Amino acid sequence: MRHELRPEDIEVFSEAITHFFNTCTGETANVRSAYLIEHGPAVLWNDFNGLIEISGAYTGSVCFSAPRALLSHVLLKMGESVFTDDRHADIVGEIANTLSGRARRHFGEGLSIAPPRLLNYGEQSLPNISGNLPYAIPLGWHGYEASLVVQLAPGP
Amino acid sequence: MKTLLASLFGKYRDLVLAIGIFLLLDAGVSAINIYTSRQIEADASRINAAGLLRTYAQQLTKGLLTLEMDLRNGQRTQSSLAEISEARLGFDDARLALEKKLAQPSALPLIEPESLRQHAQELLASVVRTWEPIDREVGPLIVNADPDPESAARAVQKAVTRNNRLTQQADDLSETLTEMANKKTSTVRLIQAIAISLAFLNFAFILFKFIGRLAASDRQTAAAREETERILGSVREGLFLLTSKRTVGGQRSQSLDRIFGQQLQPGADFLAFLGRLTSTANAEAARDYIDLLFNKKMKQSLLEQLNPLVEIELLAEQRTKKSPSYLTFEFNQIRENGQVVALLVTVFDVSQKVRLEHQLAGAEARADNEIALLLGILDHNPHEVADFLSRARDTLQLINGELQSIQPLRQPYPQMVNRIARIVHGLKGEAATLGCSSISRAAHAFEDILQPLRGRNDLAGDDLIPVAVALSTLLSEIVKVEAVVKRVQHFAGGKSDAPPPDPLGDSLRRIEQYALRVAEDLNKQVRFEAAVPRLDHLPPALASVLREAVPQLVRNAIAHGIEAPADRLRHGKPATGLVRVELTSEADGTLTMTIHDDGCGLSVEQLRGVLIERELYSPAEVAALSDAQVIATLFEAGVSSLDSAHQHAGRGDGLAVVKAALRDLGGRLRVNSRANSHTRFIMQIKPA
Repeated sequence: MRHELRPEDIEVFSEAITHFFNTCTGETANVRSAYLIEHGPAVLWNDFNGLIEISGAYTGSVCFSAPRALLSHVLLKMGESVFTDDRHADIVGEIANTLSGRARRHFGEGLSIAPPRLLNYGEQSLPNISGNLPYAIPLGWHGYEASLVVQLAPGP
Repeated sequence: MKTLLASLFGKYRDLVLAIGIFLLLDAGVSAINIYTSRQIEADASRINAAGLLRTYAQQLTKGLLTLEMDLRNGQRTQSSLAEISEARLGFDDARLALEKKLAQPSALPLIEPESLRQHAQELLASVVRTWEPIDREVGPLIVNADPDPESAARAVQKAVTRNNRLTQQADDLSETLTEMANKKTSTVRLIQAIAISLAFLNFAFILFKFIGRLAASDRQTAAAREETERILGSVREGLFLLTSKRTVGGQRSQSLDRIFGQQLQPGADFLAFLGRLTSTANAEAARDYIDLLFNKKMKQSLLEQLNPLVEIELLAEQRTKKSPSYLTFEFNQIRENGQVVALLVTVFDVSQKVRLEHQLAGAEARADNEIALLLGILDHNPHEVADFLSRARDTLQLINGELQSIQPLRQPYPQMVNRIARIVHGLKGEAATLGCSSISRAAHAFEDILQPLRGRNDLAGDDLIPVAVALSTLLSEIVKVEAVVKRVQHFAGGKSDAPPPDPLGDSLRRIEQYALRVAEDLNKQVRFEAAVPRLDHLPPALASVLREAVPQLVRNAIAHGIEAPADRLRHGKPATGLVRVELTSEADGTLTMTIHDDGCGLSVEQLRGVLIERELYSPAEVAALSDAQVIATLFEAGVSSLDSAHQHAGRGDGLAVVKAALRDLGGRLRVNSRANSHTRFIMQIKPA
């Protein structure tokens, strides 16, 4: 039985990200108050965006969006010395993978999750779900701000 | 026993008979062998006896010759006489034994032909005839200790002349007897060979019969197995046998793994498997039910209705994408000799059915909700409802904007939560007065989310995720109602756009409906009275008060002031309480709106207790407050005189909303109350 989205269905993603930052950088990311994106998600798009698309019991997507500077800092904290676009994209991909794994554990096998993909800057291909506004959860880390955009609705 | 015999002489009759014959033949051969060994013994004895006849005849002749020589030489004759006597006795003994043996007729004439025996008897008779003249001469000789030489000479003559013949006859007898024995032996060998051949044939018969039958049986079994496998391979339901030890049987349908989404191995503990598959409660109910089914006294037909494993939901972690999420199990008792030896378990995938049922129920509920929504809205002016919805949407967008822009500091979060609580409470009241019960419920649920956050000074951003979710739910509810209202407005053909002829009366009628609904929900009896002048148009300030403050105060009057009918009667009041709304207008344009109820009044002492009990103030602080200050705390957010919240009161936001509304309008609020008599809220709004 599919249910309307519950707070814990959103929290699972913010927890996954904070856990990632804690584990990989040893420093906590501060989750700010979540809000609804009312006028399209374009303003959220940072330099690097990792998207996982979900279908099955719930449909929609979860996107992690972060500026280059934040990711560079994360790479530095992880002891990396190469700061190419690919390495930045790898981090976003890894976070998207973490989100995907956590989603699968939380929602069970009834959910089909596509492999994470990277959205280019400005690419607005986030699938829109009518009647449900996406949730934005901003995360502060070392003065930078990344965003998690969760847009999920019970599947057809 | 009868069954055993029937089966012995039924299906396996041929086999049993063949084995019986085999045993008989075997026993026959053994009997012949025993008989033959005895015959060989007897034959040897007879041949031996015939040989003795020859030996003793010669010994006698020799003895006689020795006697004659002894007599002639004048030597002692005792030794030779003894030899003669011994030979004569020995011959007689052998002869008698042989006669006796040959006199007995053959037990098996086939083995020992009668003719041969008679021939042997004749030969023995001729031996005896040759012997008797010798014996007659020897007889007197040996009884005389001192025989005369003549007698001896006669005897010698007889013996010598007959010796050769006697020897020949004894040899003939011996040969005949040997021939008899040989013939007998070869006959017996032949019989043995035939019997063994028969036994061998019989064995071969048994073997071929048995192998043939085994092969036929194997073919039948293989065909049956193939059929069973085809059935189990193609049947869509999961089938398996549950043994009395609650383990899974060896034969199971192939669909079982697909239905369970995992393998159920033969011999597996079914109850443990079920425990992993579904909730503990379901698994325990199933254990009890299966125990009942294995009770031989329990009839299956009586137990079917008790089956707990009908449309059970599988645990989320056990599901795969393609596996079912709802299963139904059927159990059929398998009885043998009155005992329940196993259960045939049939598993059905009912996911589709349950899903459709849920969808249907959801659709029905939505339809019911939409009808209720429509009916609720039809009682009111669609224009006012649309106006409310538009404002509500704007308000929620403001909340959302605040969520988006608030700085992540500890202090603003609790303040924002209180602000949101007041706004949502106000929306709830307005929605209720306008018959938008679904919005009112969503707002109430929103308040439930906010309640545990209030009073917390350690709020972090992630604590507010539920707030965003509740905001989304309330917003989508408003969007839904807006769609209905638009349809209603469209249906009304735009007539509703015209302002109502009596806006104040219209608002008060709406408030009265709301008051009666709240009273009904709280099992109270209320009479609503209004004393207002007729106004052609509503001043904006009054419209705002009627929209936001009055519903809150009327609701408070019923929830907190008016007592339950029984309590009112106990206090000597009529069972029906009174809520009265009055509006007066002064010359300078000042409006005074009074909401009066004849309920229990405000109890300052009770309020003091509540403030201490809920740790809103310390006992010392409460003691320092004047009565007026204690009553003023009612207008603080989060203070309520009720022990627990229900949909109409108890969160302590109502008066805070009123205070905020009046503050925005620059109005004043006064309270006048007497215990067990009345409470009166008086709002004064000066003209702008």
